[in-house]
Amino acid sequence: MNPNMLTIALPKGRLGKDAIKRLTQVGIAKDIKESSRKLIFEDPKNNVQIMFVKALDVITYVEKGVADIGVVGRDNLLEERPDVYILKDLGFGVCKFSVAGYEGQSLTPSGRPLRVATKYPGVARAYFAKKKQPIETTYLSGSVELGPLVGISDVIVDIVETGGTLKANGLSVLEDMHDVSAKLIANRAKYRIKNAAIKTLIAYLEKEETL
Amino acid sequence: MKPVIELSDQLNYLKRKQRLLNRYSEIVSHEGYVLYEPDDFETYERFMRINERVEPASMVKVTDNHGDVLILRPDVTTQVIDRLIPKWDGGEPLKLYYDTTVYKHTDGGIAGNRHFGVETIASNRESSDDIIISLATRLLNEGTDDYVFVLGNQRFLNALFSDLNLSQEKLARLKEIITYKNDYELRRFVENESIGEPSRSRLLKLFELEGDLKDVEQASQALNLTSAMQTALNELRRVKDTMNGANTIYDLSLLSEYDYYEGVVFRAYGPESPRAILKGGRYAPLKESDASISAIGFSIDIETLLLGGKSNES
Repeated sequence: MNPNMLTIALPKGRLGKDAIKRLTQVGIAKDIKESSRKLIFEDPKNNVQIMFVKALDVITYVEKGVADIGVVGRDNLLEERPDVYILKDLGFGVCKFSVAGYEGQSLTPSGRPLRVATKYPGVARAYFAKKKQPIETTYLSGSVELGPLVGISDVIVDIVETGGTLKANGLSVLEDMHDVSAKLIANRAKYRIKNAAIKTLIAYLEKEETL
Repeated sequence: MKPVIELSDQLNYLKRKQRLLNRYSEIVSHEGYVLYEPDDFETYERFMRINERVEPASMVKVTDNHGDVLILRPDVTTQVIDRLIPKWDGGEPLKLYYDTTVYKHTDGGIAGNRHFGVETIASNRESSDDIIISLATRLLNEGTDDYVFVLGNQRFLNALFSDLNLSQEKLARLKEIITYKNDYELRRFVENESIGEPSRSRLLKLFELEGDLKDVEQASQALNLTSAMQTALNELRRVKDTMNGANTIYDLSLLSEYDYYEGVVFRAYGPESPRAILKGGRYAPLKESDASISAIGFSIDIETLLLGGKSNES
């Protein structure tokens, strides 16, 4: 890694593709292929290097200062609550954090906690604590919709984009919790040390938004 | 098998750390500061009453033999506010320094960080901001060639907050948004709370009040600042002359997680460090204490500072 370059951590997958699209629109990272097996790319013309990592690891790399800035979904920020700056909403990766289950499912069962299956136990706990509703969370790392289908939970807490997967499994949104979209985050120390480069990048992105 | 860290490297690091700490003690002792040895434990409940916005999960909790929940000290200033200021007779300024470890939970387990800090307690801001900031930069210069010093003023934010008449819960949410520099959420907050002018413009422009002092003054001109906000800017102007060429950024949205700050606040960052190498500011005693008492201090995170270091160091 070149410490003199602005290092950007991007998540692999769709969010990363959208991020690359936004960066190339402003003339950065034009030769980068997200599908390549290469993990670190350099754009010497713009003095930028980009690292592709797993979505959750974007937060770790930025918080630890390995990457100066990064692109991450608000879902992961709400779950991890990292000590970083959240500088900009990027306007893509838009979806919602929702509570979903069978139509008509009560969110306040009597005499016992609501059973919630989720990839985001922190978000679920914080949301229901505000509503004074006791819950029991089961962590699932994927296919969360299975929770109510196999009976290990009453509802799920997950990000919902179109609701297609829910519908295909006989479930529907019972309550919307939070808006989710991609955010530009920065390490607190690197924001100060590489302030000019970070602000220039943000200015490029904002200029492009107004076109 | 070859060890991951050679013993000689480890010893060199320890020697470097000891040299720096000895030099720090020498400098502050010469300036009349007395070594303060803080208690290892704090009462959880009491600490949270003083510092409502500190993340409870970050604190290392233990129970005593009565079942009371204690925490391993997460900072030293809270102890100074809680245990020393109430005993101070208001005479000669109380000048203290400490060299101790503070604790918090991290993803990797419990982290203990060595902190070297100073605290000055005096009547009516007798101990001026510039003396302490000058001492802070002097100590930093002993340990590193390269850092950015960031200066803000909590007094500016307090004046801004007091005009908003928000509930405690909403104010806490606003402070959280500002701590993250989350411009998107700040705009939503202003819209949702229907905040009117001139507070609306002040909040929406808050993250632009950052840069060199001229930039900040220029950006703030259109914001119809109150006299308390102007006073906060004047305090920063006064401090500017003591910065002795240090690379300084002024940031009026700089906000600590600790609510006891009430005046100039500052941070320092190094290019090799993922977090601040120095944090400090002017703070007020507890509400029930004498309002004429004011204190100022800072602490240096020694291990974070040593991630960088002086280029000419052997």
